Amino acid sequence: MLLLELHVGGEIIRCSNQDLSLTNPWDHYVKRFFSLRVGISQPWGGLAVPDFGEVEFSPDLVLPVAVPCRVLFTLSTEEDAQLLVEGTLHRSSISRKRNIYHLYAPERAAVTISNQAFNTSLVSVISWACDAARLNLSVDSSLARVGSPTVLYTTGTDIDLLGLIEDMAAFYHHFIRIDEQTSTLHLIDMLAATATRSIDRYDHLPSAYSWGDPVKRVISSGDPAYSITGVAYAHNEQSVNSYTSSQAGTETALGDILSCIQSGRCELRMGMDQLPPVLGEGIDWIDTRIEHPVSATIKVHTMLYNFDERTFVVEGWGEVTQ
Amino acid sequence: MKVIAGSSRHILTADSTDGNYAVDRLLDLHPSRLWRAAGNEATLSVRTSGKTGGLAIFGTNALVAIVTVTDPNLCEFGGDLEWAAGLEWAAGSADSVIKKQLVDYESGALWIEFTEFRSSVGIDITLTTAAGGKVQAGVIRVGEMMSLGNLLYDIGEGLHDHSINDEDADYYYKLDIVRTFALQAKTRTKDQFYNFMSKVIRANGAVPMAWQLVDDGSMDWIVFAKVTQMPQGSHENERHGRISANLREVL
Repeated sequence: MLLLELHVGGEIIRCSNQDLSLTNPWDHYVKRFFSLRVGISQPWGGLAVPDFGEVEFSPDLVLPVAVPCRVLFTLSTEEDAQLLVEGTLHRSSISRKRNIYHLYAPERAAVTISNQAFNTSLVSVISWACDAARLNLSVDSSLARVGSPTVLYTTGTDIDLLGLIEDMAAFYHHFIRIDEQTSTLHLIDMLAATATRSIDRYDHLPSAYSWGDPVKRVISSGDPAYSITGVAYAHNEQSVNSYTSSQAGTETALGDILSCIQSGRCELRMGMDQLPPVLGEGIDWIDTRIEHPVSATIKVHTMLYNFDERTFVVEGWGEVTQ
Repeated sequence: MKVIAGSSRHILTADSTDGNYAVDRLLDLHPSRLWRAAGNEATLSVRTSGKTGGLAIFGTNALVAIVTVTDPNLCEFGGDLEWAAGLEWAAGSADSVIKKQLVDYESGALWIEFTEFRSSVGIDITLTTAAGGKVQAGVIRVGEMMSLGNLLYDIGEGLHDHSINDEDADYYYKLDIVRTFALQAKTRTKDQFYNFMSKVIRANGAVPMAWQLVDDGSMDWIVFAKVTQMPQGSHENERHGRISANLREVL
């Protein structure tokens, strides 16, 4: 169930796309909520960023032009609700039948660094970046790779710190999720293949499977540049920034990125009668809705919440076989 | 067929409210937007102004409803005041002014008809639900009761499903299911027909209202519903007519 909190003039207006009587009433003012999407910036890692759609309200709800809001999801009570995103709704249009608002994510103030040399583990770099003097976040590395890879890199001048660690995490096949509610940065290893949720045919709807374009090679930046060979018949190459001067370290990272590019992808549709997966969660299943069943084990890299159809669309990469 | 037309509600209060489930939530058009009390028993007090012939409550979980009508014009003087000869206060009130009280606990509806008041009255409704629960209600309507003729058989009744149903995916996410009615009523032209067409439909359109759907007295339904399209009518002769209407309950 969708719970949408609107903060107006010091008061909270609680609404949803149906009338709900929970600890508080949540009134049916939301007529449509166009696809809320939260995804990782690169398939092989990076920063989880929201891609907000728009909200359509019934015209009997009068709101100011800008409305701070929180979007939550629950299966049962508002106490168990999970915060999906926090942001500001900005009015787009008013008409006889509906008032439309677009949802904007808050932006963190930019923190820049210059000429910073790193020769330590990725986890240590992240912890340094999250220090109170810089990004001011707590760090949860419980799901980061055991044996964190080594960063051997010196920055240039006026480098955006969050952009840097995001790209660094992606190079090492990790992703970063920032929980603004708890001021915590979560570092999650995309390579850890252990599934944490097994589902069956009753937990998902007809879904789609695809494979991306093959690449001739994955090549790192820097001098010297290193590369890993893909498939000879491909036309394209994939370039990535490197964060180690070690050939072995670079080639290991490039190999992981190549594996990701070559892996199968899924758009898994699930009903909203169950808890949604979280980014980085592993899911495995056998899709028997297809004539020749497909076996899949993926890590979730994008969540799309379709509140109008009461479904989630989970996008992930991993092992997909038929 | 009867409808509570317009509103004579002047003041509405409750002697108990649970948090944000305020009593004014009873005044909107949505039985699913509740007033809720802090305990299993509470009293709603309505003070009217204008013609009052009926009161209806929808969306309640009450298992018992006790209705008391009082005339708030009644009061007592202090001991050192007295009327001049020939004047006296009217007698106190009366439950005898309640003509009919119907309760449909399964659909959470209460319907009360009064001997019509033209002056203001007070109506107290004490609702009680199961011990340990919190009594609640969705909508209250009070006002003039309009009689619109008896329903004719066949009376159509069905269901409308608001759920998400993706047939291709075999996915069903259940939301609310409401009742629908397809009705015909025989009317007297000079009052009932035009009361329905003008005073009810033309004045309110598809705004949800409180209806008692009743034939000659053996079957009735109490619904908070709207017309799903503009009704039709016909004049069978200079004195009688017939109206057709489709109603759907609202949430």
